[in-house]
Amino acid sequence: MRNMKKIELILLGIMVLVIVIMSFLSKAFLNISTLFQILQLSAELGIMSIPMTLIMITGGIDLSITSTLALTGVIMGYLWKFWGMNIWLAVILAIIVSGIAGLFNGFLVSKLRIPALLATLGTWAAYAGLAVGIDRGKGVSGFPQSFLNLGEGSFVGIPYSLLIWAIIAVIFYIIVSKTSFGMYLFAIGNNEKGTFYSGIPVQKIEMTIYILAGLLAGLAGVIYTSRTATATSSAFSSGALNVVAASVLGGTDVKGGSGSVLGTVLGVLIIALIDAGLTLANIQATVQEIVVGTILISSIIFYEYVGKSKVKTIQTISK
Amino acid sequence: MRKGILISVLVMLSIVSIASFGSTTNSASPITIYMVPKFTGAPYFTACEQGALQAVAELNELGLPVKFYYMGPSTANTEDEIKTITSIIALHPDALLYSSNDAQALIPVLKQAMAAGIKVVGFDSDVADPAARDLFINQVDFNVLARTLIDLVAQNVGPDAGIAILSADPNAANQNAWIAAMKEYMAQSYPKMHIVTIQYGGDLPGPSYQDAQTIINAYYPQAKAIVAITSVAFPMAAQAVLDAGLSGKLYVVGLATPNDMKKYFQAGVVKQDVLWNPVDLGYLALYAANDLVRGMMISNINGTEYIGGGKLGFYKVGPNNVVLLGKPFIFTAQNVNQFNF
Amino acid sequence: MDEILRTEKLSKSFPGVQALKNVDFQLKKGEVHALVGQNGAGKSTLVKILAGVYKPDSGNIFLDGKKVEIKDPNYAISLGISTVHQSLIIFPDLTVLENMFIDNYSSSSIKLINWKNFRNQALKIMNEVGINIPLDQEAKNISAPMQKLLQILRSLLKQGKILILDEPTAALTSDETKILFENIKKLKNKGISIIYISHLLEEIFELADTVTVFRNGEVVMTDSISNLNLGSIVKAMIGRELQTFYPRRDPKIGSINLKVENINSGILRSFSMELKKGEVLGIAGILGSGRTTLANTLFGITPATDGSIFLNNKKINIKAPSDAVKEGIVLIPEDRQREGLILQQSIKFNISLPNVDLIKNKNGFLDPKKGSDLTNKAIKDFEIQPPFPDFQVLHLSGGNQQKIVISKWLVRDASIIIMDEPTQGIDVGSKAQIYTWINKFVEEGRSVIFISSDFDELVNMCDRIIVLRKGVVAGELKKPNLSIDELIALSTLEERDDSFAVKSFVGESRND
Repeated sequence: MRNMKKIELILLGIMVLVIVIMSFLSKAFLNISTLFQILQLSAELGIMSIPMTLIMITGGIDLSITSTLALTGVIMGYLWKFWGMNIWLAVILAIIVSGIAGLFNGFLVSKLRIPALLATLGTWAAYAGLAVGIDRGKGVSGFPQSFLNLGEGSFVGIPYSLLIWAIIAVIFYIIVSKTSFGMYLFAIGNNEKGTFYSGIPVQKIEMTIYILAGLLAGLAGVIYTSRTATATSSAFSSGALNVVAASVLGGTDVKGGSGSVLGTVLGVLIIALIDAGLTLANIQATVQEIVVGTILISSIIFYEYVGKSKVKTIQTISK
Repeated sequence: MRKGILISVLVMLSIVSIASFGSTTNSASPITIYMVPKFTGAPYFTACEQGALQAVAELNELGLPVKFYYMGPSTANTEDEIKTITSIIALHPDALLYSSNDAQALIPVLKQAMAAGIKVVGFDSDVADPAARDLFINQVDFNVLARTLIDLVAQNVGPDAGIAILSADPNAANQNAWIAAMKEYMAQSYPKMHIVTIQYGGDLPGPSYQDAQTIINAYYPQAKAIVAITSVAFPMAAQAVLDAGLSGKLYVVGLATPNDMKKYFQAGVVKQDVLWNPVDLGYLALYAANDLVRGMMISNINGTEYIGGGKLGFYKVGPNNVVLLGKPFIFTAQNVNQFNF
Repeated sequence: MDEILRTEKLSKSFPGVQALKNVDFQLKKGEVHALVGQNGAGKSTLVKILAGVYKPDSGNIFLDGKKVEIKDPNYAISLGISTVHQSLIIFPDLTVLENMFIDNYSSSSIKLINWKNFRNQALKIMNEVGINIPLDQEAKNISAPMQKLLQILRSLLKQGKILILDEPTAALTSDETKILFENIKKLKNKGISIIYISHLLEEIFELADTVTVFRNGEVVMTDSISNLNLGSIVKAMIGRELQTFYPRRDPKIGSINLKVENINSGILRSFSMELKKGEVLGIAGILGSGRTTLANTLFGITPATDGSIFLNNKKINIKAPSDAVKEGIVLIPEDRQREGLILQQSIKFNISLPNVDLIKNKNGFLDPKKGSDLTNKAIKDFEIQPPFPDFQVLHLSGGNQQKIVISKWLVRDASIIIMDEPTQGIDVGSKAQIYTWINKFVEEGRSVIFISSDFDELVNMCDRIIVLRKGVVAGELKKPNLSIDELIALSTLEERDDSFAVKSFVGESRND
């Protein structure tokens, strides 16, 4: 069990520190609109990392979400371009498909009891293949301006995609910390069997979070398509591991049972700010990767050994 | 003794003041140019960087100082390239050189750069919308390159050869344009020649090598030639053919820097390597950016625009603001050792 | 006969429980020495100390007259003390020969395996003890007693002088048991000393030379089998002084509450029963009799495949624990740490988990104050120590952990509570409290199904006891005719021709 309050506080401190250091390295950094421009690029990752955190709290993982993202974009583009469908209708249908993709993951994991890592590794490949098959490497572009506004536009200076991310984060923060559903996630992650014996419908809950992961990956796919003005099967090729990394930096325990939405949001922000800050300071991408990797490893070590709840572990002997 | 010190201090002061005075009067104020390749670390893009650095050195000597930065993603990743460019926009440089990983996805961010008053010049790999940049330096005419490759296959294998193509990403603009041009030229000149398969190695060594093996195992001997049209795929294809012991039986041709291919020329598995000079490409791109920012070396003769490319001379700006660098160059076992990039 | 092993004033305690008290035990060369006693009497603790799993708090162990300190299981093996565990540890896809030497070649991975040498060793040892197993068969293809013997041979290969057999017949049919016993006798004749643990007393009369009876961590009797009979062993096992330990209750038994008709589930075959309001119904039976399967079926963990369950004359369908909870049926599971609790979480979390419906506010969000109130009430009512809602359950004693498992269900309006071994491994004080709650619970007109292998508490707590044997009802005892002798007789002395039930029992052994 990790002390999430402590971890969130530390992450907040790290974020402030990153902003101070980076603004020292580059004057361009302290400009609010610059910050928004940069953070906007992490909106899809931010949106997907939230359901990933929920899944990881239960001890699962979903590697397929980045394929779902690409698949959603491709289906949406295909429906719009080749079927002449209204763009927003195409968006809704594509998000429904992403929900079905999540449902299938949930079925494999909760009903067939296939380990989440294997099940979603399989669907990751399958959904990616499906996207390539529909797309045939061509990609769809030329979307109407009304749709592109989603990725370009802003409300009182805040890009829409950041607003959407923020709203989702708040909703899920409440779900995780204030509802019985949130409580069940932690219980499943700590002891799935014990949770089942407590009369909790474990399968339904697992199913629900994988569907949520699919739906939000679909939403991220729509935002990505709008931001890059193109729907392609190679979208978001940076992969699901970045999403996992953000959650892990945010204090989510890959072994399950610990994690927080706020921590994950801070994790995404910290990685994005460091990335951009180092580019602004004219530091090469390879160095950036080393920096981010080092931060990740140190955070994991930190959480394992220091971030634990402060009760001394005594081995209780079971007779 | 005291006098001596005083004199020497005065002399030093005057030298310093002349130097600083000279630099402020004789030189223009420095401009900042960023060069963003598809990915760093590839010999091909390093050669482009070398060319750009040559141009920077020349311009600095001419009193036209340029602050030059070479930055890009570490792998061919569209996401990371967009992030890099977004950060660069925040620094408000005077010009941005790019080679795009995705013909569509980079358009919004390049337009954003133009809107911020940055001169945008593409090199090596363009985006689909000419309005997303000021100029594009095309290394070689798509049709000419495609013809050169197909003619080599016809000469070495025969006019009825089956061809396996090893490309980068299904979305890569250059490669798709070359493939289209090859198909067209084949239909025109070698009607019996045909494409057996197209494999996509993603510009990564591992997958490219595997794809080459797939071609060897599944499509040889229907395919008697591999045409590897990325600088990453060509050496991998040559290696795979060498490893399969098909040297001399399965013809491999493609695009790569000569340094990457010397080993395979020596092994005899490769006879020709087609490429333009990437050093010149980077050199011309940097000159073009300098010209645009400083509004110099651009001349209009009878309605046709020309830009100055330093020692390379003047180049015509064609339709869609595309500048063509030149013809492809064929490296062979005889001439390859004269080049070092 | 010469002595090979002796313990002197061996003691061992766990938090809240004195598991072993000044145990003097002597094992002679070439004898089969049976250890008997109820669950928690101390026999497993003794055996685990001899096998190097536990370290004694005090006392000495002498091997061949020399004092030894058995610091870990490997050291025990090097001393020649080998344990054959109750569960089979074989690799089904490897051959018998490979299985025999599995730990030999995993420890010296650099050296090439000399199979010829291994085969000679195996043949030599089989020849010595007069046991023959086909070496090249895959282990899954040999019979169950042969698999057990394979485990035994594996121990002998390590120069085992003392064999500890922990319920070796639990998964065997009567014929298979006979084969095993013949072979155990051969080992005995070769001078190997055997410590034999079994719940089936009749086996002991067939095999053992000496019997030691444990009760509450103490040796209450050691004697040669020829001086003993079933009655004297049972009497020693249960003692007499425990009678006053149980709180008195005047049963007020009402109408039928739960009715189960012809259900099949796992090992349970056509099982029927009735439960009345205000009744404590005991379920007795040895390990593998279907006790836990019954509990799990009624609670929806392993739903019945057919048959009907009626609650207050209404047919109910229990497919999952959530269905059972909705109907007011709850379970205190046998494995409290894995099934009953979320150890990493706080007392408050554990008590809130099945009761979120009680601690929600009007908007459907969890109300932390209501959660605290509920937890504080449970802590007060059930005297949970320490009384801190945020205390991690992992660090509580077994008794207090069990109080949480019980209280998390009793804070809600359950009408039937199923308890599977609710007092196992907990201290005497907590036990007494649990008995008091059971009485209070049924006095409110609700019912308890009480599963226990402690026959003494069953006899003293229950109004009626159903005895299960291999998935079927072996008998039913009613107050005032409840007796331990009768329970032991019904649950252990079986007709060994019931091969169908035995087979299904083998399949069930993992679950129960």
